[in-house]
Amino acid sequence: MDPDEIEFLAEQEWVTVVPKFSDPRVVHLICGEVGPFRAGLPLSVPIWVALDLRRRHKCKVIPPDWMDVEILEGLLEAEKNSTYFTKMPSEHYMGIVHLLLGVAAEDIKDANLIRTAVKDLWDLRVAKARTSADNFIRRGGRFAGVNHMTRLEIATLRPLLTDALDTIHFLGSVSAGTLSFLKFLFIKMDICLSVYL
Amino acid sequence: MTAQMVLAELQEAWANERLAPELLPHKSELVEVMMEQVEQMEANVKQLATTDLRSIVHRQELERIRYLVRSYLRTRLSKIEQHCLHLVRSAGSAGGDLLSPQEAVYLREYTANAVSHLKVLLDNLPRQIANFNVQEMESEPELETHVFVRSKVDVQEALMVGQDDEVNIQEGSQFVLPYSVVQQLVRSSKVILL
Repeated sequence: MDPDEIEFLAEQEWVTVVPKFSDPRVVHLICGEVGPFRAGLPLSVPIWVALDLRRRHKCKVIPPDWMDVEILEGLLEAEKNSTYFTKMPSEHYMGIVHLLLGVAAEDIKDANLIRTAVKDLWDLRVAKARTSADNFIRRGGRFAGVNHMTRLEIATLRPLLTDALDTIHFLGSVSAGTLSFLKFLFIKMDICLSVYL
Repeated sequence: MTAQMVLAELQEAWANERLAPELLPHKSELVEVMMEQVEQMEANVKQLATTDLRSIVHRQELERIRYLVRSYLRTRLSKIEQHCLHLVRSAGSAGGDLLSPQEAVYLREYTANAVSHLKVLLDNLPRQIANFNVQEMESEPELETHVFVRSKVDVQEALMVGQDDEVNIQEGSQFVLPYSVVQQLVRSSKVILL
């Protein structure tokens, strides 16, 4: 699953907006009911609806509570102090910040600071993921707990980790005969290289 | 079951299918219910003026759902093509609910065409290399590949990983482990792939 597809999932999350127009009719979407819209009165809508309304200048986006510099810095501290992954306020925290700041940065207080804070949090978590993946591979384990890792973080780690694990498993499963043949091949290659060099 | 629940389940089925190394049991009943909803909704939306806000939002949602369904079906078709010989061979035993009727037809025709095409090609090659068994081409899904999962339930019994490791899975917990360990749980939608 690539980042675009994960962003598609993030767009299904709900967010609060303040409409700049009134429309008493409720829109019966398949994913839930949206409306009625009353100018100035906040209501909850799927993010993809919010982004479309915002692009048409028909609403103002209210960021989720956790999209706040202090809270994000608190999360960063907690993440620093914990060996394990801490729970994020949303499964799609990175995607939501990216989507909302991309379209509605003007509606959000301290947009730039939030961008930096989330990036710091993300970098720390991805670095943590890499380190634990490294330990995990060195330990020779075949499974590991990855509680609280979000889809996007997993997608970032996946190509590296699964490829390494699959290769290790493959090397472990080849017979002794094949292995000695491989060794023989490597020695030959070594000789060829040394002659060449 | 409400349309909203069908959509949520379809989305889960899509994500699992995208991430599983093998073809999962088909969910064509979800696809059919969803497409009926989409068609019905489309007829309703046609009544609205195109400038109506409701029409704009509805149209967008329909596009999103169509994307989901298309991506789901396409992913399945590409897996069917990739593992066609394997699926034909196993269709008798475990293949009962693996393929939808339409997919079964596709598998049959695709395999027949691919094999007959290959035969024509081989007929034109020198005798020594034309001697080739089609079954040797069979590619099986790699079930030992590692996947990320989240459990929707407490799994009662401990699962064996390899020879001597055990893993206990609680509701909401996430793991990276070989697909074969959780294969049955993925098929029965007790765990989701991440």
